[in-house]
Amino acid sequence: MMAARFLRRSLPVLRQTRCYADAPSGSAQMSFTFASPTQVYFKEASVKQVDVPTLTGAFGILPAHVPTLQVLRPGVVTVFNDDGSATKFFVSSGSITVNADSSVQLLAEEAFPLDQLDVAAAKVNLEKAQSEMASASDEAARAEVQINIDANEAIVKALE
Amino acid sequence: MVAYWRQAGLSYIRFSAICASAVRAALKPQFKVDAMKVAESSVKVYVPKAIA
Repeated sequence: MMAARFLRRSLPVLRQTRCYADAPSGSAQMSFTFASPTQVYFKEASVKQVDVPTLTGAFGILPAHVPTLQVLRPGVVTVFNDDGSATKFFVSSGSITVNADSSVQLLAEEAFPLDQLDVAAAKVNLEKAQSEMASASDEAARAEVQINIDANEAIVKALE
Repeated sequence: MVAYWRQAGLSYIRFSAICASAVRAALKPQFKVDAMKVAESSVKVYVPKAIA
């Protein structure tokens, strides 16, 4: 009983957590690199926040985010610059790394600013894919068509 | 939770390739040309026939 209370009291110290009186360690800066094979959008730039769509959900990354490795799914990446403006891109897939020193690498297979995408073309492709679903023979073919449908749905949703 | 495509036997690489081609297909015409040029594979697979 006493041991439990002792542990609970001393756990913050043992865990090296910060209290309000402690100043944050290091600079609250995020070194952000965002590129696709053909285009570099940000190179070790300082930004305030980045919102990313991953397979396990969408989340926002601030400086001093916990280190993580995630893979992306088709969706919108929003970059909040230091001056308060926000820029949006659509990424198809790729990976995101948040390192312990607050550097973030977002490497996309395809990434384009939203205004380079055509919502009408995406809707046409979505309908085509949905009709392809009926003729898909086995589970792998069905999964491939479903991926196509999901990607086009994400594009339509991002542009509307 | 296993993704449906993983369960169907597809890898993330294949998932990524399909998503990328879907995004390229939804580009506006003036950007689509450049993207398609980059995307086409420049690797030709040559499988030599086995001897005897």
